[in-house]
Amino acid sequence: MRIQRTFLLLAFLLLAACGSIPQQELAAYTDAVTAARTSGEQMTQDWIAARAELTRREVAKKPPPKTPAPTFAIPIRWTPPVSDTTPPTAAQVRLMAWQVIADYTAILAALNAGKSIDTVKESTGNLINLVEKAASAAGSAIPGASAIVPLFKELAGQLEQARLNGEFKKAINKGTPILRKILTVFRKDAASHYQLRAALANEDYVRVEREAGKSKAEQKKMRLQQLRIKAEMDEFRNSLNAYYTLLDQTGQSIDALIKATNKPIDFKSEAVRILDTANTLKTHWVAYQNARNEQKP
Amino acid sequence: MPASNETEIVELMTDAAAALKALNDADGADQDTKDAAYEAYVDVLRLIGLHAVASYEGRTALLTGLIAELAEVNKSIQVSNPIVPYVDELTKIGDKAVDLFKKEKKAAASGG
Repeated sequence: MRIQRTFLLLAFLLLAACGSIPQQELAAYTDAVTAARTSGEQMTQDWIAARAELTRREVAKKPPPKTPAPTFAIPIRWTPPVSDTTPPTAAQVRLMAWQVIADYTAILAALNAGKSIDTVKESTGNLINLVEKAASAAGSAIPGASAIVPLFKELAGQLEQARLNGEFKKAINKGTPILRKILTVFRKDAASHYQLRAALANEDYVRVEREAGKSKAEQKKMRLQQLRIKAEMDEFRNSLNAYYTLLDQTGQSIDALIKATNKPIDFKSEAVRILDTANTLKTHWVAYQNARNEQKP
Repeated sequence: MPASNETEIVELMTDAAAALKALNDADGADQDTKDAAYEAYVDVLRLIGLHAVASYEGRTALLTGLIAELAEVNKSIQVSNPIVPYVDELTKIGDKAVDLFKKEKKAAASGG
């Protein structure tokens, strides 16, 4: 009974150390941010195209000034080469932002996957085996040594899980405030994006009208062109609305994730897990005790 | 640029564009007036577009800073256990030491 209580307390302390990773909220966040990234990258490509179109129209309106003929056929002065340190464009920075968010999300997923638990267990097992090997080489055996390996492995695994939970909590509390600010930038970008597209589309709409002839066929063609411009803008607006909704959903999933990560441990709902851990530890302890008693001279 | 100023600028340009478009469409206006209104309308639309670009690009520095901050957070999170490589190295060394000890013991026992 005393052993059971000890292991129950140990399991309780291990699980209570850093809480646990909220699976449902993490999955919802991952889904939302993945969809938002796909949409956001498409939007950035559209921005690049719209930005280029505006530049093209501006250049067409104002032809570049004629460069005067050079004084010398071969330049007299040598200009040292300039190293290529062009800063990334505004659109490239948006793509970089999505990449760093994807990296952050991958880290959260890796902490949740807990691959390091097996690594830690294996390392602990190897270390205990070494201790046993060293004792036997020295001519003294540790009673029940091989039976204690699973207990230490289990303990190390639980400690590693607690460490991962702590790292997860740290990642959430340090990363999400930055993530929220990035989402705010993206939301503002969406408004600018619409403004640019709408300005270009309105220009096209009136230009088509002015360029059309008076004949019926010309007028019909003009109306079709105008309908197409409107339809393209409607399609763009729908895409932008969907993207904005995804940004909002990502924001909401972040809120839920923060809340779930930082909520106090509900001991009642954790009871099953605590008991499971305590029983596993106790089973290993009893196996070790039995092995030790059997090997005692 | 504060948000309210930015909104005001866009509203002002939108109002100007609307007025010029109305002049372009007016039945009573002569062709020269319509042409001038159209040119000005296109100019204002381009200004609206350029304003959107300036606004978008103006947020780039802030975003660059945020990217750097999040990258720092990513770097600070330890997905794998930092002690494991040391434990593994220690185990390897210990293993070699035990093997050496066994060999030495064997040699001593055989009188070598």
